[in-house]
Amino acid sequence: MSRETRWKSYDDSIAPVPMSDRPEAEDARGAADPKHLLASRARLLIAVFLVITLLVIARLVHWQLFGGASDADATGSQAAKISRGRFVDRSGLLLAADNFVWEIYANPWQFSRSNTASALVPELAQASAAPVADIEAQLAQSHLTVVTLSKDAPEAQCQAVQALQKPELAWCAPRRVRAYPLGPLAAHIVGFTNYSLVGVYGVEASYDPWLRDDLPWTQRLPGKSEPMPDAWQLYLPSPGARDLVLHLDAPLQHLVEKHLAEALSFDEAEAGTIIVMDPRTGGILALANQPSFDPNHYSDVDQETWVNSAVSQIYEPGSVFKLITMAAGLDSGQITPDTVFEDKGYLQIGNRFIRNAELKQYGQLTVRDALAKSVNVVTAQICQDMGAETFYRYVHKFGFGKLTEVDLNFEGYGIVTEPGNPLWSCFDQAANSFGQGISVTTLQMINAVAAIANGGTLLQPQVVKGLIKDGQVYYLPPRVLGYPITPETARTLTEMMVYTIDNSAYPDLAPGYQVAGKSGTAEIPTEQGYTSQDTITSFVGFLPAADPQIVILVKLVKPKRSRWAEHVAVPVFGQVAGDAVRILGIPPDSQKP
Amino acid sequence: MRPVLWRRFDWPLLTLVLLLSGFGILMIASALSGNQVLATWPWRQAGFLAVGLILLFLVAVIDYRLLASLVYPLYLFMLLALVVIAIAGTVSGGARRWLALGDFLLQPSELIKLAVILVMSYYLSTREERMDSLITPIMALLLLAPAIGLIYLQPNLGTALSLVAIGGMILVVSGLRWQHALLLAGLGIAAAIPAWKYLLADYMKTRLLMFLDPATVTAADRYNIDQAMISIGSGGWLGRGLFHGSQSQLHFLRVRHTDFIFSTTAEELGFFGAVVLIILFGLLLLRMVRIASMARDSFGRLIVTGVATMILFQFIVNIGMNLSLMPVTGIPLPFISYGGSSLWTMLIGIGLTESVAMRYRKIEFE
Repeated sequence: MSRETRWKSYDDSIAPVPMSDRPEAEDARGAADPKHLLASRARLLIAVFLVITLLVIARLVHWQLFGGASDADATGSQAAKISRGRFVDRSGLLLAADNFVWEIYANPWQFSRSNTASALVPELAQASAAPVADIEAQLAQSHLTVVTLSKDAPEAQCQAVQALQKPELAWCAPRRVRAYPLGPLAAHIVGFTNYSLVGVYGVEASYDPWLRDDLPWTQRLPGKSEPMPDAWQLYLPSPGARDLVLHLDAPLQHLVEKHLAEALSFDEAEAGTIIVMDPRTGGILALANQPSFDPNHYSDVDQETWVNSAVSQIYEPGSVFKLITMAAGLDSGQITPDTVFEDKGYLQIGNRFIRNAELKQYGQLTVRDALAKSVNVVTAQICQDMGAETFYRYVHKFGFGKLTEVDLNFEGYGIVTEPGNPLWSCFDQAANSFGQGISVTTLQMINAVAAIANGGTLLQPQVVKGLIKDGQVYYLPPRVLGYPITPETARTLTEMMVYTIDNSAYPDLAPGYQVAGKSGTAEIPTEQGYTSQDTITSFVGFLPAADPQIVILVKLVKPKRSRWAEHVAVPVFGQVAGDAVRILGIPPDSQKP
Repeated sequence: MRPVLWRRFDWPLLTLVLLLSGFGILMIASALSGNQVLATWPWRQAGFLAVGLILLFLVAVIDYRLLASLVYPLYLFMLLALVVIAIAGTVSGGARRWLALGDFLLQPSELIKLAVILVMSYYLSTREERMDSLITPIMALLLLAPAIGLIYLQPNLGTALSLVAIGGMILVVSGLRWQHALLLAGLGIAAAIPAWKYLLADYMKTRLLMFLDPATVTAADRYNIDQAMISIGSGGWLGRGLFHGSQSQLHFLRVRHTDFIFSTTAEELGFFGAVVLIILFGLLLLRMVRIASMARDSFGRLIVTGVATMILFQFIVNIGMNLSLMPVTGIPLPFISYGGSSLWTMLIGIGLTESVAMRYRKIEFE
């Protein structure tokens, strides 16, 4: 039966479909069953496969068997051509970029097969600046096809190796390395890459897929784009053309790190953190931890030092947390700043007692004064009055016990023990009200206070300000996580924080600017309870109080000179605030229109 | 389970799949050897394979005809998942979200291929008697369009094109009239010109242009292609031996365990190894076409055709990319490349094929 008649027998209205692969010997069953005939169309797949396979085999024969693809440059300069993106601070100062080192390689397997090759060993030793014996030992590993003789050779010696004209035996190639021009500056923000140029800490890690250009970027870019400002063109774009701009202000970061280091040595503290944030955007303007390191030489320090403790480590915040309790009380209508409480010096819960610092007793006082004098008993009373449900609702609304979603890796959650957890008791709630028995990250704490500063909006803290590609900046829009309190509550609380500063030992923290703030001295829990004399002192504040533009948190761990925040953290805040208003150009209150 | 069913289970097909997947794990181990950080990845791939085989048997046991009532809800669900991802990606705005989502985005875009195979096969198998009408292929294409559109918007050109190939092949095997085929092809070409102008994103154009004219693209874009060429070229007849390819071992070849694993194979196992790999794929395809032609009904036949097309398309595009015969699209090599969701999709597809094979029509009585 011919092909034509077979097709016609099944449907006269259809002309034969031209198919090159249709086998001539279709079995008889096929002719009888039109459906089965259609199934033979699936053989089109085999035809396609055969055509492609022919092409593939032809290409393989050409490349592999006849050397169509030259491998003379097998390990050559191609590696030099790809790159990782750069990132700059908010004014365009370069924080990270690619650099090259020259590496000298040899092929021991080829050496073992060549009679004349051993004559090259002295020259290779000279080029690699290594003893002849070492080179010989490396070349003796004849089962290997590649060994690295030098990991950082000067270019001239590299050229000397190339001049040997024996590319099958020894050759030289550039290797990309990452360089951090500002050295230890903002090490915990910048992070670093490993030997294979994969980001492992900091922005290098959290934006790794964006920075590396060997993987295609298939995600949508955020928001609207604007042309890149001229000022950034000194270092941008990179050859890979996927770069970043950070919120970080390098000069401010430098001064913050200086003040932190000085405070650490002056107060004999073990560790410390300072964060400066813009409450209007969530942008992190400066973030410094001590101890720190130089990302160019990251392997010189212990691994724990690489961790950004402001984001990853948790601590008990102490009296700073009274702001959250007050916010909850004010926002739920439980109290006003003028509500009067009676402080007897203690509050009994079950068979345990809440007491004030240094066992003071204040008698009758307003809520405003209770915050200013940091009275534990009154704060715990306010917290008991509002009930556990209300209190923990506000704790969560301010972002505690969950991630701030900052664009850095390894973020900590903190620990909030609450009703429903068998470890929780009413006493815990009272202790939580002044920041004991509750653990937070430094970033969570400052971010919650930033929400008070900006009128009640909790924002995602952001390290990166925008993605840069093809001369366009794609600014990351601020992202709202929630609205913990109303603008009225935020204003009232700000006023109470200003009153707190005005009635403290340091009423003029930042001359010319009204500051809202709160200090905290937290005891450090050990396995036996709060038995240690060591403290974590912190101060968080924002300014100008009428139109907050920066929030600053200073935290010093285990200061020996004094265990009280007023003597340790507060003066450092003053120094940082003074530098910040100057660098960021924030006008003093008197010059406001 | 009735033993007669297992008699019809296609063991040669499963053997080929196991050979290919085992080959893949060996090549991943070789490609990543010496990398401390990724040392466990071959084991992870073996774990993916174990889970995938369980999925394969579970799917095979289910009579594919029972899926008929499920295909539309399933397809709708997959489309909704894609919409949700698209919206979540836009609304969240901040970089962290969509960076973190990177790995998970893949999953719905892999599963949508299976959903498209099922929905196209079912729709066309119920319209067999109405293939003379142009309405039928047009309706089928309208059914396919939202999936292609959503995947394209992700944006994921490679997967969108694979959906076009799968849908097209199912249409052809379901009995598309050649006049209709010509008409639709003509419309497609007419639509391609404005599509190039307005629809393709820059990175897509760059990749296509790079393929058409290597001189116009930047060194960075060409890097993987050049390295793949050098890698394959250095293989020779028998290759440098497993764990000994300098290109892959020195890590000049990036993504060597995923998209460019064929280059690693060609370098370390040479011409011989590459040809063995191609022959394995050929046998797999032959086996699947045989199952398609023996299927009890057109629903089964079209399902197997769709799965075979999915495998063939990815095979061609991936190997073509490794050999500079095709533009770089980031499509993994079926069964071989590292990655759980890709492997699982393939194994579920094989499970569907087995389900069809286990329920052959009874040829003996014809």
